[in-house]
Amino acid sequence: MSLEAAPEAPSGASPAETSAGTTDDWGDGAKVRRAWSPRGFPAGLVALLVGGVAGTALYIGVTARIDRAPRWSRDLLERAQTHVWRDDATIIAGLIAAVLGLWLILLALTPGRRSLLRLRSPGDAMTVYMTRRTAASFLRHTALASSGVLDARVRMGRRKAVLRVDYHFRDPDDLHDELIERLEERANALTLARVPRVDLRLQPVSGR
Amino acid sequence: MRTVTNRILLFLVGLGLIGGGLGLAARGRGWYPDLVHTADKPFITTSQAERLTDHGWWWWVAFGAPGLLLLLALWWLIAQFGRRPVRSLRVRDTTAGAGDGPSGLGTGFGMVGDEADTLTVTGNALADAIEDDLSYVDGIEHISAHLVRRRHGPTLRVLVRAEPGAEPRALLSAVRDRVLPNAREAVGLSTLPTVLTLRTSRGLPKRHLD
Repeated sequence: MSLEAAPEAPSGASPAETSAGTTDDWGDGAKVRRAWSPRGFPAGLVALLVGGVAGTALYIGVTARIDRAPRWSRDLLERAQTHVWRDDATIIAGLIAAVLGLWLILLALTPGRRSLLRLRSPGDAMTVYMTRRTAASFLRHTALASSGVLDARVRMGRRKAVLRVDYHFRDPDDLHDELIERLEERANALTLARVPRVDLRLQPVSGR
Repeated sequence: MRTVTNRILLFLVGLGLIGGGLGLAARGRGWYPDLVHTADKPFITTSQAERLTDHGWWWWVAFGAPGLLLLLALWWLIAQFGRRPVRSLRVRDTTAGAGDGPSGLGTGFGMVGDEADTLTVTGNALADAIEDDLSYVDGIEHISAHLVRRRHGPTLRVLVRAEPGAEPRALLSAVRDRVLPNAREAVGLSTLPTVLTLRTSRGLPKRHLD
């Protein structure tokens, strides 16, 4: 997996991450940058297409020069020299090419790697990432450790973790307070550069 | 470097596609400017093509431009493959940290050259030793380490699969305070940039009622 630091300015830090960054020798969460994808797959695909077009053009040129052009290339050249490009197919092809171009520009300008969350650096030239699934798994493990919790589903965003917890035989207010405290503590302990806010939704099993 | 190159080239190709696509659509609508052709004629007529091929330079352009483009595209494509592993490292000082222990870089461990003053160790041997050292850290289920070449020197890439109950802070502290110093000391590097990605196993089953 290839990862590179983002050449972008860091986003604003939440109070939690700022305080976390000053309490130990780990890097400040406000100073870390997102991972930028190398965009290897689209780059390889475009390189393949460009190479294919260039190779075909070269082949047509060489075979035409030695008067051994295949029939399809002669048909293609003849079509280019006789066809009047003024129809719906031309418009649609042009618009498709423009949309593809826009998509490539978006790929070039956006960081990608949305599934990776950056952690505060422990120092010593270390760059650490955690997948969203991993962060969700850590939080789910913490929720399941509480008594009365049957199951927990976590949707992990960059700023917020939404937990839907199924429970039974517990007072919902007590459970809510207990879980919020544990989950926030756990979220802080993950050392994420941007500590996610915990949004907890309790669902009694009888209510399903 | 690959990231920057890829993004610049993708941006340029994207610009070209937008320009060409909009030009083609404009021509299809009959809005194409009449500077060179009218909209009701082909892009290039047979007589124009014949006149073009009469010039001596034409064939150089016809072969050179696609040939150059083909070479560039091949270079770009090849650059996407392979992580450029570090094949061997020259050990600068073998007197410290090269003994037995979890680092495992003692005598005879993956060395590819053993002359009087120089000692080289394969990148895989160092990566294996780091994996071995990491396996002693609590909360880790599986490790995969690779040493890759970057502009500023070798870089360590580590993929760690941790238990869902693991403490990331403790785990990373162990890597920072024990594993990396061991590795650096073993091969005499003053710094070893490290990119570590933390994952967990598939999660826990829901709790069942008994």
